[in-house]
Amino acid sequence: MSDCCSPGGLPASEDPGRRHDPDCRHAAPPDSACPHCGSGGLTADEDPGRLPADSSCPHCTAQGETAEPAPDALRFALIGCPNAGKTSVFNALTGLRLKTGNYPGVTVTRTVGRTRVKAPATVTAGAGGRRSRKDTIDVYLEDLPGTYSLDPISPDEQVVADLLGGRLKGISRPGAALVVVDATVLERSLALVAEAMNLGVPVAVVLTMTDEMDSRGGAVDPVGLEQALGIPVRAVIGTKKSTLEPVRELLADPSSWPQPIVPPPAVAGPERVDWVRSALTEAGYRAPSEHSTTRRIDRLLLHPVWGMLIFLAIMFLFFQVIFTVAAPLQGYVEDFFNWLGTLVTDHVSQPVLADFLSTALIGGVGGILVFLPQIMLMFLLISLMENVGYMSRAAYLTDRVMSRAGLEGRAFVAMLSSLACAVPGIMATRTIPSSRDRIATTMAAPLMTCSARIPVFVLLIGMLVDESSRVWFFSAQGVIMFGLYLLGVVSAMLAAAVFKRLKSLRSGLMPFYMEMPPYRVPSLSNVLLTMWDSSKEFLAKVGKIILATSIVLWVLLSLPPRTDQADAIHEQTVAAALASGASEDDALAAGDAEARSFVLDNSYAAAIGKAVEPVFAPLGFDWRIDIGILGSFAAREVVVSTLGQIAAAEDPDNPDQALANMVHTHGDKQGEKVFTTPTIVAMLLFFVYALQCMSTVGAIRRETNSWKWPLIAWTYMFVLAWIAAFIGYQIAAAVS
Amino acid sequence: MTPLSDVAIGSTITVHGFSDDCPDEVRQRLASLGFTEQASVDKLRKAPMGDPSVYRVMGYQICLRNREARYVTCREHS
Amino acid sequence: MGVHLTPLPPADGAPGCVDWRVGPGLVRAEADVPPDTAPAPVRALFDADVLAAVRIEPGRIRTRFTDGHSAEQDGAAVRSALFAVLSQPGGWPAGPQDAAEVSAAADAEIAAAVRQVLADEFGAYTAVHGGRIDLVGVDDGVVTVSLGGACHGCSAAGRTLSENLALRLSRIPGYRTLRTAAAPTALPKPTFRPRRFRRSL
Repeated sequence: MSDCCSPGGLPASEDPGRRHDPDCRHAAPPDSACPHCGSGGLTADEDPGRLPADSSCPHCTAQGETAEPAPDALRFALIGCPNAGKTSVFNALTGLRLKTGNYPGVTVTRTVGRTRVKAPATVTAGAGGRRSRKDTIDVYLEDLPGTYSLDPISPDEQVVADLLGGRLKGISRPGAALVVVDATVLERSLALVAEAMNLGVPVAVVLTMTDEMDSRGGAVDPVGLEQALGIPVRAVIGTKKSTLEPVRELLADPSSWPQPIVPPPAVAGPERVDWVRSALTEAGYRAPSEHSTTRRIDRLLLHPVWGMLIFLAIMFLFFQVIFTVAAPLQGYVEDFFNWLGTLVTDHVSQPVLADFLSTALIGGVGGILVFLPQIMLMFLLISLMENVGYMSRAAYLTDRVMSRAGLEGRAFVAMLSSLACAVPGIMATRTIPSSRDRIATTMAAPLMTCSARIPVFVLLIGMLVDESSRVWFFSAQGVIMFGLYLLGVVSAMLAAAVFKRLKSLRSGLMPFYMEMPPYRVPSLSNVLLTMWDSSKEFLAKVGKIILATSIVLWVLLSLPPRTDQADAIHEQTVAAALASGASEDDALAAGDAEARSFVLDNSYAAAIGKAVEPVFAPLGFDWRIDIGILGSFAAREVVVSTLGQIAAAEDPDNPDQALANMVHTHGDKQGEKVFTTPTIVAMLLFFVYALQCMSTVGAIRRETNSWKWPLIAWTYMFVLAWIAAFIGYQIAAAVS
Repeated sequence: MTPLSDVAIGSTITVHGFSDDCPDEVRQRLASLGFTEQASVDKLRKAPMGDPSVYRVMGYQICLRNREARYVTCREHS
Repeated sequence: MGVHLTPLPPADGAPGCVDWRVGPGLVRAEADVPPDTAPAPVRALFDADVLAAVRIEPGRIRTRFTDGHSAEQDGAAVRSALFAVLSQPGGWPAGPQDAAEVSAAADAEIAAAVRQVLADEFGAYTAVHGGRIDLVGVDDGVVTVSLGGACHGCSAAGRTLSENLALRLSRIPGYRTLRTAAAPTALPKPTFRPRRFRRSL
């Protein structure tokens, strides 16, 4: 049973190793085609739309679900245009998101939240006259992607249309719909309301931006609108939770919502235009005048010259903030984990265990959390820009450049974020409407020079050129660093262009359109909530992977421990050092380094390093560099610490010199220096291109909902890295 | 009958319809966005590199690339 | 100006019926419409055995479904048929018509709606203030009222009053703008004018 079934109810998509024995009653893997099984990686509790489990269904039993039907949970679809304030309404009603997954088979995010409302009178009465103790019920809200029309023109939109029509396998249809409508653009929005009213479920309108209506001289009467449409209309101010009470009351009982006797015209045409006009008249609608603040600010921010300059300044500031504000915070986190590590080594006597705890576990967790300040800050700034309304302006200014790579302005944010870390960048691709664009951007984002590459570049550039050497009046080291950045950016754009042209991504050219909303003062709670949600996701999904690879790396680098032999070497080295007049501390340090070096040289990683040496030999790498590269496939910075370990072992006093003086141990280059200029050039180029980050692999897997794309990404980048390093090595060798 | 992409910045036009070579999904989407027959559209500005342009229609601002704006045929009036 | 077709459940609860509120001036007769004289789109519904009866009167059309048909299933088809008829110049055909006749009929319906508003909502207000508002006339959607009594003398009160009135009247289909009749002490003319809803007959 254990071979074919999976414990813990992992869906097949997260449990690719599961084997299927057709004779085993439990064996059928959950399948998104089965209406009882979930999809999108949500468990039954988090996925209220899932049809109830059935004991005769082999999939359900394999998942570990009981045969009891799921409680009848009310689920509301939250529909609305982008920028209508839908997210604010969702946040105000549900607080934190319950869970985020994907809709089956597509890369569209599914967001479900839960809120508690006062139960309607009928529920509390109870069956058979028994008074139910519960006077509140839980209802669920499903935040659908923002859209201008429910009539689909892309596969992503088709999924939403299928969901609303109850045609989506594995997810039941929402029982009612809330349409969030921005009062300042009511005329355009009523078409979407008409489409929602033709879905066949109860519909209510949540009218937002009514305060902005007043300040812009517009007017609308929600009661008049309710009479005109025939469905409930509640005006709210997204930032003021108290105004959402009437909406909560509505949520209790959608079956009580009024509906017009005949639904509005279902399709676009003169009939619907007339219906919209008639509704606006009856609602006493007066269109607001232009938002004067937005007009004034845009005159500057979208000015052909000033706008671009200010944009570049803002982007520069974006990075400055991230690196200068996050850096000290990162320092604190690092210090804390180092301290924790020493605590462990001091108190845990078993050396192997102590090493495991401090290096693998604490080091691993520390490795995740060290990035957290930077990531959270990035999410905060992105959320702020989005909520203020500047994001669309940035996309507008960069669209022309992005379209040369076959992408669009909104991909700019994803690419920009990837300069700090590819994981948030890949998460940011969700704002791009075309799935083809999303995948192309996701495949290209890891090529952007991320911050994890910096320590590696610094180390290698330091070995390549002197600090004092100059190119004109610029520092040579700085010039090389800048060149590497540029290489990363250009390569990323080219990669995106190539991926856009791939046949498998061919799904028709999506029209490009983007609303430029008025500048609005963002609600702090919304901004923080968005930041926290994204950070939580990063921690949960990516953290697991970093921890796992940290443990695996530790196993490879520190095992087999050969404790007896290591101890013997330690003794020898300490004795020899003391004999030649070193202090006790230095002697102990020397002994530690030698012992560690011995373990490393005989570890599993070393065996692998020696085994793959032929692959990297044309690039000038020796097996010790290969160990570093191997480790760095988990996370780039590992190569720095691994090489550092090797160097410290060789020469504890001068690790930098040690690396420079390191020589090949065997083969035809035996005796020659390892870190020659061509080798360093090759290493630099290798690190520019290779996908050396398990977190990124995890993020790609999460966003594309499959293992195919992460595999393609890793493979193409490895090939690119090898070729680039090879070319670099040959050219550098020929030149020098 | 001018395509929207050729209209000068700062002018106001009335939408007449869509060109014959306009793909169905583009027509559908532009209509949902407010580019319906008889709709009044202002062309506000162009991006520094010439594309996209910002338009005001049905009380809000939206940017379109020339590739899509080309499909909208219009009559100038001011 | 639009058709302003709004379906409502019948006020008197008659089964299988839908009362369609219609824009002013589009229906100028009061009659039960027999299938053979119904305009083509409506006749098609009679022929398809969807509609059993149609009754028209100014501002309203009542349709009754046959057994086996209902507002849920066939309401959209009826709406389309009525829209097709009413969006023709002159609205529901009622013998030879000219633009003037249609316009006059529309103005009459608007006037009736304005009187209703003045009586229901503004009557109490003006009575308390010792003033009165009278409808002078409606011409092509332009409503003219005269302010009398206390309202007449106080220009400030008159301005707010006419603004409020104009706002309320803007909900009446066909209304275009409000004018106050010239008084010895000239009151400022309100400039509120809804831009969108122009008559196009």
